[in-house]
Amino acid sequence: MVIRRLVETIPVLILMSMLVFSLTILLPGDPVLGMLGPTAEIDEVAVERLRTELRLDDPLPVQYLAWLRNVVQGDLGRSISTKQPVADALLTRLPVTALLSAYALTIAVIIAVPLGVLAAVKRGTAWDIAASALSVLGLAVPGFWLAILMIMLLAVNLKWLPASGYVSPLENPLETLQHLFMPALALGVASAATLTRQLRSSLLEVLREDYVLTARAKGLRGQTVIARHALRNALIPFVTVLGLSLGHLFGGSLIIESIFLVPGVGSLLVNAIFTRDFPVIQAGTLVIALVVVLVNLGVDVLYGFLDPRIA
Amino acid sequence: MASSTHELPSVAGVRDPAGTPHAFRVRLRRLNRDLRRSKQAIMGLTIVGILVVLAAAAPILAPADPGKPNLSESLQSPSLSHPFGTDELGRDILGRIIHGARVSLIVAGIAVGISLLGGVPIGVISGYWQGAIGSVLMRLMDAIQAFPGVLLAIAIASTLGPGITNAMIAIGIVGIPTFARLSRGEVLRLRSVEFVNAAISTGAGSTRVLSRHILPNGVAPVIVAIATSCAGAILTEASLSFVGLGAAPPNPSWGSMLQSGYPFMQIAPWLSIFPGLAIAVTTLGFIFLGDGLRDILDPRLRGR
Repeated sequence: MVIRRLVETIPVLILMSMLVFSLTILLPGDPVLGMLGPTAEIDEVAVERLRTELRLDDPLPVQYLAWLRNVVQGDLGRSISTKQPVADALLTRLPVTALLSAYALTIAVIIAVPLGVLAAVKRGTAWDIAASALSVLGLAVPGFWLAILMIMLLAVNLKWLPASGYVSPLENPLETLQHLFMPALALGVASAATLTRQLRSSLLEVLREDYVLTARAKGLRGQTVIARHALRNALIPFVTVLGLSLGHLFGGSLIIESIFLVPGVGSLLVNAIFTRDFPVIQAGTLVIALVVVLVNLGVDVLYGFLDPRIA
Repeated sequence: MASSTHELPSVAGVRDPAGTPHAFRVRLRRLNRDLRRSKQAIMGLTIVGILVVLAAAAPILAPADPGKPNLSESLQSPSLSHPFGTDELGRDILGRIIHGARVSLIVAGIAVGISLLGGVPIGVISGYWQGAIGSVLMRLMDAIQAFPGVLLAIAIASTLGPGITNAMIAIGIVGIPTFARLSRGEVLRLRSVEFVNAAISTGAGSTRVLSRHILPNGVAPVIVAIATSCAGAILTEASLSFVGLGAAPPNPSWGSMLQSGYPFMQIAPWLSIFPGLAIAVTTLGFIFLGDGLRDILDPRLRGR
């Protein structure tokens, strides 16, 4: 099963790289000018060099393969604004985004599990309605707006938390958690909402199963039934959604990171949008998508261990 | 070939529940009745309805040109004449939010339209004929869905260049796989159902089977997806506008209002509060509508 899943991932990866490559075609006007930025017209040597480098006179498939070869060798092009290799910038910033996303996911799970269980177990009561209302709200509120509200309340007015910035966990892990708390919460709320809804509905389904009834009938306490029998089975679809959430978190990190000045891939990309730095946008998109696919692959493999019926 | 044989397929007494015009009318009436019973659907419809009215009547309700600066009234806190306050250029926030509703609803409508028109044919092709083209297209859908949605929309929109049209295209493309997968699943499910087999065996062509039997029976989840996709499109548009890729100023978009109000967060918090509230309420409306419609249209979920 693991091997089949690995094999299935390959065409997705190839098509994904084609999609990212084809962004070049979408660039309005001359792609070379788009890639070199507004100052390119003056520097004709650089224009010519990039033109031959990208094999723009060759047919598209040849161009794609040349590009892919560079990507596989770790050459993701150079930033227009900093002239630095994009791969270097991405490599230093990826761990920050990964940390932020993991933090956000942790917060999301801490919120979602009790809320989802509460809603399912006390189905139809005020608890359920409150939990469901909260989760719908979490879905509807834009994360970046929540971020702004939190800065206004928790940082500016109450001065409880730093408004922005980042401290490396290698220097002071406690301060890292403090600095990343608001970004992680703003990022994680939507995932918390999705996970709550997912857990509630899968728990409700499991609670109707015969083995739950049996567990109850043999006199187990309600809590034991929930924890040992129902929750364990309801968590299986939950883990899939968890994997999918990571994609949302990476996508959402773009704006959240730039609001809180977190030096991750997201803020790098947003800066690149403002400076029209196409190579950074292209490479950043590719790398984030790659990470998301690999994480989902990992989740699917993990799935097999969680649920022996699948493996 | 006599077409009357297809009107009421009688193979082994199998009937398509939605195959006749009468059945369709009955279903519509039932939908109307169920809609009134679902609180969520009513709430969603009300919110979306009010927004549509506001957006349509924007020039009457907020006659002052929302793009026209009035520097003598800049950054005023909420008052009777400006219930939501004014921005750094002295423009009325309430008026701009009402005009912004137009931008949001139009972007959501057109973007979801692109997703629908792109996704449903792909899903039908791969689900009904199950050929090589279909599976290649579905692999492409997998690849698009492998990207975080906002990221891909931002990548496409920033490549195409800022602007509302490009934002709609970007959001629309990102939503195509949702509709492709959904309609493929429905077509696959219905293709193996008895009444569709019956219709095929009486000699009905694929156009007829698709339009008469599969479409009316498989349309429910697509309608639900339209509502939820609108919620997603509005959130994505807000994100795009917030990073300067959506509606260009002076066009009022809720996302760009939040962006331009951001530096004034401490002295004029209303610039950051009200446009975000507008986004949240609108998204909430579409989510309620989607949830309510799903409860109504999918009887298996009733009472959950």
